[in-house]
Amino acid sequence: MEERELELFPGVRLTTIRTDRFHSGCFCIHLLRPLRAEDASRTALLPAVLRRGTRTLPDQARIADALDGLYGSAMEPALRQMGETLAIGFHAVFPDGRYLPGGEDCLGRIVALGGELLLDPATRGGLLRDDFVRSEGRDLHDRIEAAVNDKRGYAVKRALALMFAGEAYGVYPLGEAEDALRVRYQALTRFYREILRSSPVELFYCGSEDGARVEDAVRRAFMTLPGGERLLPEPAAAPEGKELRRVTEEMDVEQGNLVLGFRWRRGGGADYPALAVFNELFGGGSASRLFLELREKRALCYAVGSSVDRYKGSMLVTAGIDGRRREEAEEAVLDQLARLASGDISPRELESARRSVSAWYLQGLDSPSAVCAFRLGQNLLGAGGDLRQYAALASEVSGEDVARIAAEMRPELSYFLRGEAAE
Amino acid sequence: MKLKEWPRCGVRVWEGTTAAGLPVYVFPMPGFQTKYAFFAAGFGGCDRRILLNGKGKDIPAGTAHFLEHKLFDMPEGSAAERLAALGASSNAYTGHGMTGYLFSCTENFAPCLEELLRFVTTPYFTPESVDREREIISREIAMYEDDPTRRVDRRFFRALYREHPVRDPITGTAESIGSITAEDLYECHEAFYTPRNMVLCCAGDVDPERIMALAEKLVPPGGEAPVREEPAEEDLTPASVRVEEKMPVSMPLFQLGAKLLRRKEGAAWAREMLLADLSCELLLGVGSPLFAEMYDAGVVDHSFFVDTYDFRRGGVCYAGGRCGDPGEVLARIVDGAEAFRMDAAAVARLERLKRARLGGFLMSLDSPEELPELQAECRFDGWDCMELPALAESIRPGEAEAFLRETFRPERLALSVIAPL
Repeated sequence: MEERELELFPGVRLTTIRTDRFHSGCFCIHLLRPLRAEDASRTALLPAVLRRGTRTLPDQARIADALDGLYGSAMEPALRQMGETLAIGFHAVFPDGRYLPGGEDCLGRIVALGGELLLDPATRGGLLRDDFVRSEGRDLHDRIEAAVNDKRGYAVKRALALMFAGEAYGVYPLGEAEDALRVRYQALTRFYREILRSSPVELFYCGSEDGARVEDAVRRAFMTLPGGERLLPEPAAAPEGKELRRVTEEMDVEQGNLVLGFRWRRGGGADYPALAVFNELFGGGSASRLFLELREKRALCYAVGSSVDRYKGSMLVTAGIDGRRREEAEEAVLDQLARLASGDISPRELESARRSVSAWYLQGLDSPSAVCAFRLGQNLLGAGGDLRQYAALASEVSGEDVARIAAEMRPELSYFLRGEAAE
Repeated sequence: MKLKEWPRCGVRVWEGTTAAGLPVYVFPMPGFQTKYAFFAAGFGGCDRRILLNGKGKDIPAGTAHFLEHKLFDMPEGSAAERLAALGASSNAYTGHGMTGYLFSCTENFAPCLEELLRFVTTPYFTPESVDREREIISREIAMYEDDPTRRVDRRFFRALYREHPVRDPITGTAESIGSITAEDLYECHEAFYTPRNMVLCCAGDVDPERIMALAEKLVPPGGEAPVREEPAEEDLTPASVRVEEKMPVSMPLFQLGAKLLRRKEGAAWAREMLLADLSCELLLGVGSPLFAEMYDAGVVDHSFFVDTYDFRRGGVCYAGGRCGDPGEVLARIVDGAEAFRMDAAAVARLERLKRARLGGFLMSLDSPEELPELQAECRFDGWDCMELPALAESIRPGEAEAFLRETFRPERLALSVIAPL
């Protein structure tokens, strides 16, 4: 893989990764925004409104036709949360021209379409279209409300809102449902112009094209991007540690969903591979402590696992359990964490977790989108290192590293969504 | 082993069959980190009656899935843990027609493959472990019961079919799994997990001959392929026109569609399903005038989808999503299908959709996971996944028009709704 990174304009970075291995390529446009309650809805709404049409392809049907004609290329509106930062924009994947019947160049047309979607949207009187803003606002509203349909996801949403109340991280990245309906086209147009001027922009390409050719295409497509000072505010400092709080809410559900929230620390750059190994060992997969203890030994649940957010410095444990066994499940989770913190880690499980995390990093190299996503995360954190280096670092993580991270995890919330009929 | 090549797509596959009758496919992916193996048995949720020694035997709903859970148990401990210790990530799933066991790794491919071949061909169950698993599976079933997208789908199949086992959930129900014993699992393993009813597909930077040698050595000969008692063919009308249930959801979820009769097999059937797929996309896809009309009127939103699905002795095509008024969506689709004409614009769209199908297939070749699983499914269905681009190419506009006219008639459609409490 041949990587090239350059600043196209101040605050606008293009990273190209060239490789011949794939039948597809990807091109991503990200505008970085702080996660904030006051503009979460309009931030989430903007890519969806822009995706509705451009000056030359004025509706969804014509965009769909253009993409089908490019052999099923996809260009999806994107919203990715990384801690307290949102990356909004578009994510495109397309087949590599080398394997197409006429050797068509999808890349050039995809980059041009990406530029058009961002910079030359369908407008009326120079403003984003009222009907597009209204219908996408309704769609976003429905999407936010539908979070309740996925019970585990809903429990996580509630837990994050409760544990991080007062912090940006407690804001739902799609915003509040009612806010989505209140966004008007005039205000969204102002917001859109402001975003174009002030957001740091990260562009990525991974595929078989030469970096210089990609650069040419991107310069042409993004030429009209307005200039401005592109800065992302520093995230606020984490508040003082809090005591463990227990919250129970009810819904008409068969199964209870338990979410335990833990705070770690921010800025643990050198510890990211160790954090990943800790998580794998604790609750990351089917050989983890939580899986073996809660599912295989105690038959408490079918789904159980932990996930860490390296951007925020936090961890969530989730388990779908019988409503009457909450205490047992919570105790078992905290007990396993305490055991790890005390250094009770077998060489075999450590080795297994190290191998698994190394493999996970290396397997990222097999997907153009994963390569770009990893690089975006590294850029945001200001961290060096590529997937191969992370794989090597993961294989060197020690039992002491894992125990130290386990000891740093502070439980702050135990949230339980239980059935109304539960005891 | 024999090498087959499709230079235009940049794909090669090694094919062979072991002495015991196990088909083996290897897709070389030079330079890829991921090494992937998928070992599957032709035993799934739809296998509910089998002939054993000339006598018919009923299999409770959820048995194939229960077996999948228990097969990781080995006399010396959990195969999943041993695979993890080798650095592999393993998993398994049960479909309507097959059960697949898989792992992916970046190192130790050969010892991982040995482990996979061993545990899938070594049944080891005790009454205690079966009872414990019943608890875990009952949690899994409860989780799915709370999932409205699964519930709307399950109710949809129950509305369409009167007797076909596709009506029942693959996991079974709390009642149906209550009676499954270790003996049932042994019996089903012996009947269905025989090399002639299985397939091994691998992908990555791997050595095909080594894979073949391991399969020869570790997969013991079994009996003949199982003799199934196939479900009776049902007519094209649904069992119920509309079913509705209430759950804690934000707004109604719906799924509507029609049964497709499976009168062909192999590539001919695959072509029928592709025709269904392309036709539905033509009528209801994001690029269609009907979708634009429904979206602009606020009748559907971006959650709207259209899809097809096939299984033993049947198939369905359907649309679904969230909406305020499912009855209105149904009415608009019926009217839209009736009014559909294969005019010049529709012909051009069909050509673009065929192109998109080719591109989608090419892009799937970058996934060391997708290709082996697709090939395993195709093998059980009696065709080869590399035939896909040519099959898509062969679809003609007149066929698509006839399909839509025939299929989206009100008397053929069932509508399943999950409404808010």
